[in-house]
Amino acid sequence: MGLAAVRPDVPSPPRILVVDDEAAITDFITLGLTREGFLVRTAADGQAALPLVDEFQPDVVVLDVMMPRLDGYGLTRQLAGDPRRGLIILSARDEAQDRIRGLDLGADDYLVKPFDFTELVARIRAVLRRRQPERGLILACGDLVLDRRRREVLRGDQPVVLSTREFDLLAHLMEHAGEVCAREQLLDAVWGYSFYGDANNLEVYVRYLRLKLDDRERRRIQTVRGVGYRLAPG
Amino acid sequence: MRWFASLRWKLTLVFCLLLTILLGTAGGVEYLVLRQSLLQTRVQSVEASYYSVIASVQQQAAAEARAGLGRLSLADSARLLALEVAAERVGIVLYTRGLAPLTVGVPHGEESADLPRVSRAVLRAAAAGHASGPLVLPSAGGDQLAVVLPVTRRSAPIPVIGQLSVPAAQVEGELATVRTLLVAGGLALVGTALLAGLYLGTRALRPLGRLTQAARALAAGDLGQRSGLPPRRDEVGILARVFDDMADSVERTVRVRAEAEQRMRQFVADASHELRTPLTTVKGYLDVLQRGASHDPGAVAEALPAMAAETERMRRLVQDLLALARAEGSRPLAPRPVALEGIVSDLLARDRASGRVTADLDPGAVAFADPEALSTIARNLLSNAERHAPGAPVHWTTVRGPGRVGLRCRDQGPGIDPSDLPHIFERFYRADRARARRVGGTGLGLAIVHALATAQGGTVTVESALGQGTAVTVWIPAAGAPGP
Repeated sequence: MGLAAVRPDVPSPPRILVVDDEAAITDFITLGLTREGFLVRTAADGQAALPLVDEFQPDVVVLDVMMPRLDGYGLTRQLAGDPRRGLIILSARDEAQDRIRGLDLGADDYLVKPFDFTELVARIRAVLRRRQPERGLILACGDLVLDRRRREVLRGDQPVVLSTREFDLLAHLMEHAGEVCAREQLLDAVWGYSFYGDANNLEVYVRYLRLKLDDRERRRIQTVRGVGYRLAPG
Repeated sequence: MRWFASLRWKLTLVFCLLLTILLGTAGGVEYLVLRQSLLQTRVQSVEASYYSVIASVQQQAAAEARAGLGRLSLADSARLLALEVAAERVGIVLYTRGLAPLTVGVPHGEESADLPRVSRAVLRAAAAGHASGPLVLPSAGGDQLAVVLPVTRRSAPIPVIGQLSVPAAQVEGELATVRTLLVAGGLALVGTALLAGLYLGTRALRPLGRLTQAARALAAGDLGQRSGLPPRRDEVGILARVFDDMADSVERTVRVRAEAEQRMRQFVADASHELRTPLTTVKGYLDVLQRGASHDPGAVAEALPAMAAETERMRRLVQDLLALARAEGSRPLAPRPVALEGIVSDLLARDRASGRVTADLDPGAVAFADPEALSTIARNLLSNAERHAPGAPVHWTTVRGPGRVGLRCRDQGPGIDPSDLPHIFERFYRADRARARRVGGTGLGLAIVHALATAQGGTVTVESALGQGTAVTVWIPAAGAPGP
């Protein structure tokens, strides 16, 4: 039985709705998240966001607090309750009471502006893992599909045969596609905390992985000198 | 506070002490006067019976003489007199004019030792014709009240010096009753005064207790605390009124300061929010570029102009914040006569090309103002008009009023919604945030105009109707007019 039978299971990219009355902010979030492989739509305020939620069915809503018409708290109150939808508040207010209010109204997370975009991406993924745990079982990045349940990897239509370590390494890189994964982080994730062996093992496994994924130009798995590796998103 | 330290007790005790001294003195004097008068009365009655006995002995002797029974000797008369007087329970000792003892009369039940012995001086005075008494003299049977009578016209029939005495106890009994009454009455009076003083003191000082409570509560932060006492004209009433006035003033001061702090907090929050948004955007684009988008020409083409626009927005915002801070007093203004025409002409010279800005200026309109501040005002008015009425004509005029001149900037734009009108001078107030951002306002322009005009003793007025445009007039004191 080939992996082709699994392809219909491959989840569509996560859908993100960004709600902020500052067009400059929705613009860069849209650009960044699209490049990370998300499907992104935007709304300028809470009132405009409501019909989009029904139509677009976002997996995560990223919303500002201070907006005209319906503000972020009001929108959070209306959207909270759907167990599969994550809510992340982005706000210029950094008082504890504002954060507490947002979280108590049902938000999954609260980020204070100016925020680190990489952190926003990581938090969106974290919220997705909690809200839609089955999504993490099948990872997709560009033409690569990885099925954790079957421990199978498909590149385009072609299955790729990987060893256990190679599979774990690729899964970790795909989970953090686009991010730089530090050497120690990869060693911990693949070999566990008890690993004290030769760090050169990592280079060996990365070389095998590149060979098996036909990545001689090192475009897919990029070396970040002195830090670690990074899987190109999309 | 220990009980004797309280004002109420101190006042009452001092008052009672004074009352005791007063009552004691008055009572003592009264007692002495009463005693003297009682002794006098008793002595007078003794004298009266002595003289009446003399008279009756004389009558008896006269009757006996008429009956031919012969005359009584002085010794016999004296003996008879002594007997009669003693029969009336009065002790008696009789002397001749030469102070030789004649006889004594002892009342029944008494001893001769009970008769008092008067001093020689008293006897000599009697011999010289002076009465002495009432005297209180000791004797074996207790104190005796005595009087010594010389030979007088009334006693002439029996020319003897008489010493009369009765036990003082008879009078002392009455005096003891008087003493008891005086002391008991005095004590009752002082006791009543003590209770009344405490009661009155408590009543009079109760408002002070209430004031103490109120002052404590006020000090603890309850600024609404007042004495709550009915108006009175006495010292306590004045204190209560002054206390309430003070509490009013404290509350007002604290409220004004709290409001100023609240406004400042709001301003800092607004300013930080306004700065945070472009900062977030620039940082966001940088993050996205660093995550690999820098190799994507399309992404770079989107990110760079956006970052440039946001940086420009931050620059403008910082510039306006500085202008506002200066307008609100950090830079001293240097007012001098300034022709409004010149200020507007400078502005028009820079923007002659568009031809949308026209002016109708009176060269006689001269303000007493800081020229740089006036330029800032005019610049902000113009950019505000251009933002809110894009493409519409803007017309400048000067106006004159009593003691002041005005610079009016009228646009043909959409006008301001009446509900927004009261807020347009507030910092960061923008009627339509999304549009204001698109046209590049910082939300500080009119706040700067208002602050600069106010700092120079001027005012700003706005007339606006939806669909008919807006006219903003800045009034400044005219040159030569009496200062504000």
